[in-house]
Amino acid sequence: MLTIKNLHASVDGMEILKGLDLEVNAGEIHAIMGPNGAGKSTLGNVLAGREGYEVTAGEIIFRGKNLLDLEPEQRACEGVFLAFQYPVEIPGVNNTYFLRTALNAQRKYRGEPELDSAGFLRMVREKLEILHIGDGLLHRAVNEGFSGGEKKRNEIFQMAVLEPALAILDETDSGLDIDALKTVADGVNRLRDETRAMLVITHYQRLLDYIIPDKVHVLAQGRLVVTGGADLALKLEEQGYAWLEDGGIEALETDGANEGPNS
Amino acid sequence: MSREQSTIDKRVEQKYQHGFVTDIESDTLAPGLSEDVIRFISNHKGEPEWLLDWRLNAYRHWLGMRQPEWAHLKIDAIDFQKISYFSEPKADKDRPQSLDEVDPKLLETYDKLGVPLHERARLAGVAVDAVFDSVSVGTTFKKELSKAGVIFCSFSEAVRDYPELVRKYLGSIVPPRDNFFAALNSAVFSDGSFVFIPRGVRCPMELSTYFRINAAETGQFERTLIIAEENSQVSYLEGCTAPMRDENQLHAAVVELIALEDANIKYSTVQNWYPGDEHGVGGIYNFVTKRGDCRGARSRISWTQVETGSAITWKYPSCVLRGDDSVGEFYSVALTNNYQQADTGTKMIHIGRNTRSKIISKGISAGQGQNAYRGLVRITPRADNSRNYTQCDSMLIGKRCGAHTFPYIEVRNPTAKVEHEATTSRIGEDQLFYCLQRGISEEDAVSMIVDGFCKQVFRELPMEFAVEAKALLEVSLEGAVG
Amino acid sequence: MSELHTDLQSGNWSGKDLNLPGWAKNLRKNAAEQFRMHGFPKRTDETWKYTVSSLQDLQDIRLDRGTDTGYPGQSLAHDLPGSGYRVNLLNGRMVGVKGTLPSGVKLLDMKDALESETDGLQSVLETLSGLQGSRTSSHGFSALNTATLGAGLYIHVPPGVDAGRMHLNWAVSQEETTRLINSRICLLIEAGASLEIVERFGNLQNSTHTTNVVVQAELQNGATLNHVRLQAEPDSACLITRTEISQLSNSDYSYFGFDLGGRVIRHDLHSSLLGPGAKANLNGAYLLDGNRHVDNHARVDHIAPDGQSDQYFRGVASGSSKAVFNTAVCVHPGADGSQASQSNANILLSKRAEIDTKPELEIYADEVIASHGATVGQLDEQAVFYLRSRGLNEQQAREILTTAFCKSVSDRLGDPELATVISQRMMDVMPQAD
Repeated sequence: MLTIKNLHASVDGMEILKGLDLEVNAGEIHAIMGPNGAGKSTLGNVLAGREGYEVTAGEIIFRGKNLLDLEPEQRACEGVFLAFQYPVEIPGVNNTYFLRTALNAQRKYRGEPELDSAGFLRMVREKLEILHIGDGLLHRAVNEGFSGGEKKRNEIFQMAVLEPALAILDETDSGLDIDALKTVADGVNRLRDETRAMLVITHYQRLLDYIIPDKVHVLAQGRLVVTGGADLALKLEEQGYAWLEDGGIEALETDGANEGPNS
Repeated sequence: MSREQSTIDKRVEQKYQHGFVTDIESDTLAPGLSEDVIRFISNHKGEPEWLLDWRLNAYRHWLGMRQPEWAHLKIDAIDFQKISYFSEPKADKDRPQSLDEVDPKLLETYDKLGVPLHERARLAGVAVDAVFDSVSVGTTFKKELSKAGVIFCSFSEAVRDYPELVRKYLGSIVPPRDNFFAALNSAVFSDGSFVFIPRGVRCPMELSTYFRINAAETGQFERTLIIAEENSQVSYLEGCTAPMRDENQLHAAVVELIALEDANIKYSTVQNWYPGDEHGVGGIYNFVTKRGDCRGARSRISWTQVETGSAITWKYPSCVLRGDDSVGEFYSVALTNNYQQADTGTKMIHIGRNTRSKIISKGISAGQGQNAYRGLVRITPRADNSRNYTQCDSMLIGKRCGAHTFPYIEVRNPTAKVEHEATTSRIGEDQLFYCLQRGISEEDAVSMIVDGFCKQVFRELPMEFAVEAKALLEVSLEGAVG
Repeated sequence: MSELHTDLQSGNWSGKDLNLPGWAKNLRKNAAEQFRMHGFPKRTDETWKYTVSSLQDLQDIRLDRGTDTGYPGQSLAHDLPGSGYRVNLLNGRMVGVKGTLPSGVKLLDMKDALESETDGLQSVLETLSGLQGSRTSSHGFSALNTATLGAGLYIHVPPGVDAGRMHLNWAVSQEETTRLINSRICLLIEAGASLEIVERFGNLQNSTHTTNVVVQAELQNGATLNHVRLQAEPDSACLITRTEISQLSNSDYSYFGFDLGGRVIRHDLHSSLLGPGAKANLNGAYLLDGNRHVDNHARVDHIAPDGQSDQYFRGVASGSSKAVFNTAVCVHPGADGSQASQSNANILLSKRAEIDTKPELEIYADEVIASHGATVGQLDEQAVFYLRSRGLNEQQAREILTTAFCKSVSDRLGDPELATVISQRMMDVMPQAD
């Protein structure tokens, strides 16, 4: 579904991603872990096409299309969804209205009929039901005055409505208490199916207790340096990231967990 | 940025949609201003002597006044002798008695404007008075209104049919000498609307006036007077358009509102006068004096305005909170694009005890537009326990526009509380990206964000007007990106 | 005003006969012409409309003739903490110094600086007329100040030098006539240098003088100026001051003003952020009672990108006093990335007192974060109740809360010792409710 080859990207002239390779298939959940400043969020923003993130080399093929040729909204319509680390407040814009506009823009792009407001509301209520989220957030402005947990729930709710092919969760667990974390993880798991892929970007292993990834990658110094199964996350939890500095990669590799970043 | 820039350019090319000229014969007075012109206007309308004297006094005083210069506006000199002070659509000598007698081309004009005159008006449940150039051309729903005791007619009719009411209230809130443009209006006003809501009556429908300037080189000087007696209620709407013309046309209106005890007046404006072209040529000078007098205890006057048109807007709809426990409100969206300029705001003069006022102002500047909020909150020594809250937000779109805030706060009572907050922002890159990431186009994202920015004001408008206001804003701006 | 014009042309005012270089003579001459044309501010002058009526009758005022008597109350000079260098100014002229200047730092009597044409002075003096965006129409007073240029100080801090703290102690001798005293302070702080000046206005004697001071400072790249001003003039005195700061890139200006006295006080405080990344941080408290009138006009012009300004002012008015506060920020075209905040809160304690505040914003650039807030009101009654429920009487409760309100300004001072002394001074004169 997603193939990233030799991706180099810089922000303000500083190279953050330095030759990143990644292959994600439909139905898979990949976790991207790594120390602060490794470029985890940069990867998410580059995939979504945020301004200011300059791709200097490499390619990203998403479902046969060169993602880098597309505008951010086209990428969204192609099925790329980014759950923001810091969801943005848009004062005065009703959350439901916002989401319906987004969904209909995407449906139009795909040549599907737009949903009328009754149909949309029915669908939204179903999703809320499934996700065990109250309907309070429907009547409020987009993220305005939301608590940290509410914002993240709103992201998951939007994801559920938009049903993307590729969901990128950028540090969705940061700043969440355990209940909110469970809601978020539960939402993600419910959306998990064989047509959909997910990229879970996180600093801590904690979220991966609830969302079991198929693969775990360690992003450091702008590249994926280690790849393993779900148990790699636990090792990272025990050992932290300091070993990246002093040849610890081999230590992990000897466990045979490494499938190589290019696999 | 280049993609965004091209979006701006596209927006800038948006053409004024109401810029058609109606091809009808009209009687227009030759340009020029003198006592004779005023006598002509007064005589032509068959006015009583006292009103002619009133006009002449205003005129004589005006001669000694100077055009104000304190506003944050660049105004080309106005040659008051080049303006025609009276123009009326040619029709029978007698004023049309019903809409059926109105020139069909005129009605067509209103159709184009979307004015719900005629049957549509009935469906919409809105009574409309339409002022075309200087003359009121028809008022709908007269019968239904008069059943309730409500008077809604053209100003000329009011002078003829209710002279004692007009004489009692005319100029009692905006005196003829109040300011330069009010004095000019007092001298030459041609027509306008008159509303009287008797004691205890809740006006059964929204009242509405549509103003349109059509003839070339004419000024429009209408006068609106709304009287709400004790414990009555009325909601009044006005809309304005004008054709595209190269020269600047002057619109200097005066609006006076009086709310007696427990009366409630809601006055909404959607102003879409021709703003001039993308080079700043032409457009209406909209120099308007609007003031409401909360004369009785517990009265309430609420101004809501959406100002998207005019080359220059100079207006400060105000409330004099004389009655104890009276309430004044001002909700405003002002948008300036291309070379438009606006200096607008309000005055809240707290005189009675426990008076409350609230000001919500949203300014949007794009292109090379200059947008200033200017407001006065004055708490006089008698106004114990008065409160004001002011929120004043500006949004800038593009690098060549300006957004300015000039709030005057004068407090002379130690029990009063006055709060003023203001912010200036642009459409955030992050807000825009968030919308794009959800698949929403840039244009839709911007109009959505601007609409959200204006929400607090739009929700004060009656439903039909809110829809129109939103559409106007989108036409004037949608998608422009900073 | 005629007397004053006569004085200006022919009278023997202080410093008239200095041996000035040509450019300085020209400055004086042009300014005298300007003053002749515009005179003192009028009621129609927007920035003076609340204050003109309170100014004492300027018709009879005469220029100070420069007959020095002894510096009153030497002790005044030592009542603020800090080991800095001390300069005493009497009737606007330097009369004594104490302490050692850090090496390389120059401090000259304005008279000597002019006559010897000290480096840098000319350019600092000449910026006043060409300031962009300056709308402070104190020009009548400023023009008069320039027309009589000769008294005051010139301080020059060379690159990279930390000049430490300097105290400027202003005093006026007692005389029969109503005099107008003019003085000029010029500061040139070169790249990476820093200076703190602590001005103190306050006479023990009750004199009916009007002092007209212009402070001009040029802060070069990365320079720092910390400016503290404690104003406790007698109830008979007027003080008209204008502070003009020109800031080059990454320079840092902080102002802390405390108005505790005076009959009519007017201060135009203006900083121009001319270089990228400059910061202006303006703070002030004004405490009024009796018939006093204090008018502060603070303005920051963001001319270069990425500048920051923060304005924080608190005021309390009781009796029949009148506090006028005008804070303005103008972000000029191209000054992208500017950040500006303004906060002004006032407490009105009397039915006869008045507070007029006007927080202005003028924005001509789009990548800007600007906000302002202004309030006029009274103490939080819940807080009053809370303190009373803990056993304080109402008056005590109100005093504590009013003091805390004003102290929020002195707390922003970097120097806790100075902050303590100033907050004590504020407590001493804290206005009482009716």
